[in-house]
Amino acid sequence: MKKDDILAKGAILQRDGETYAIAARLAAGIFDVETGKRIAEIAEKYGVEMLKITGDGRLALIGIAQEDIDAVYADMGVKAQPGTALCQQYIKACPGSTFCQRGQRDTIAMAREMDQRLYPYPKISSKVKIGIAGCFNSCAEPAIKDIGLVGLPKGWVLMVGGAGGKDPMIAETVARNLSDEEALEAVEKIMKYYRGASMSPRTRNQRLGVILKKEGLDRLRRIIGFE
Amino acid sequence: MNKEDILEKGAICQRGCKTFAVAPHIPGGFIRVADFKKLMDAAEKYQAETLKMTSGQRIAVIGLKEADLDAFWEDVQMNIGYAIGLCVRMVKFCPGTTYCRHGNQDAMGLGMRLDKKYHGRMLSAKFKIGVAGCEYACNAPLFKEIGLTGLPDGWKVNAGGTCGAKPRMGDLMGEKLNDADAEELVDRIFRYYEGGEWPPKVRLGRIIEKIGLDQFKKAVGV
Repeated sequence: MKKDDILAKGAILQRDGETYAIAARLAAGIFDVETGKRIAEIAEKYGVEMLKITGDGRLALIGIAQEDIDAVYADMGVKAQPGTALCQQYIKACPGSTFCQRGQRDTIAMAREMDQRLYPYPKISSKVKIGIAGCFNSCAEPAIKDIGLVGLPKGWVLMVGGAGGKDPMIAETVARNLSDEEALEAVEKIMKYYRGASMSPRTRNQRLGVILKKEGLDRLRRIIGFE
Repeated sequence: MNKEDILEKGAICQRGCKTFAVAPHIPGGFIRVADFKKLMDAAEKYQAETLKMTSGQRIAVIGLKEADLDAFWEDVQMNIGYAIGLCVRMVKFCPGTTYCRHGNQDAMGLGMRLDKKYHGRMLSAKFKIGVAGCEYACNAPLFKEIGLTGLPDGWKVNAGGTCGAKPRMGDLMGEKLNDADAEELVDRIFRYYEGGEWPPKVRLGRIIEKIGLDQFKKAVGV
């Protein structure tokens, strides 16, 4: 049988038609030296020669044999989960107020909290990309993510419906001046809305921005309580 | 750029300005495991606080002391990544036909060539280049100053995209181009911008808006 992506395990079949690429689970793209060394050891153990830092700040291990996928995840201390594949769902964050002089909000704490509460989000038939930037310079490109947050002195700006790929769209701002908790709750509600739309025949397999063009932003605003 | 950044050492002053972050140049984000290990060893030796993968497909080594910067660069034997300053910040590229099943065009090959030619080149504003091997456009080429998208019938080239405070989609400059023609068009767009007298920090998209798309196209020979 010809091989294909194994999305249930977050594994993407490579061009050789034989090996797979998977992403290390490193929330907000942050890791310490010890973790980095462990990943390098695991890569060597399973014959991985090439790593790739992706545009969304993830570390991909390229060239894993199918029979090793489970073991690689186990060695990294995580479970293989659907939704975690490269190109599917991610939360990208800039260095924020923890490291960057310009950062006005703690993007890394926000990304970690979101990762814990939401990632990976089940049963969404299209991509879910979230970008969290700590200032308007927008390192994490929130304007071209399904859900984007921009940290400003007065709180988070929430934007929805962006995409950077095949059908590019610039996100629309739906709320401003949100506290951390308000932003998290709003994102959670948006994800539920996205999942609901994912199951409807009219909007299945479509990115959030396309869905919102059909359904209108007002409905989403009502759902998240920002009329 | 902040006053305290040390551009020639690729060092970005961190919050509070007691330590620095450096982002060694890793073209396209592709790094061999052996080189990755060397980077981890240096990060450990110079007591980096943390590592962060960035939007520019780099690994930022955060929390280095100013006194250790030279030794760090000496140890890793890597080039500086131009994560800051008014210059070509990065050439982002995807796995293309080298690794990805969707790849239509050789994004790694063209990306590497453009990276060699342009990464770090000083300009009047930041400048980003993206090369994607298929229509899914992994690295969002439409939101880069110059973006290439590999389609089955050749490269599509867009110019003038940005994704910051005022996002803008790049305008179509050419289609169905082979590798050489696409690269040549990139060169023409780059040379036009590099040779112009623009006010500082005005990115290519704003220039196109100012002079008009038709005028811009004429100027770059499209």
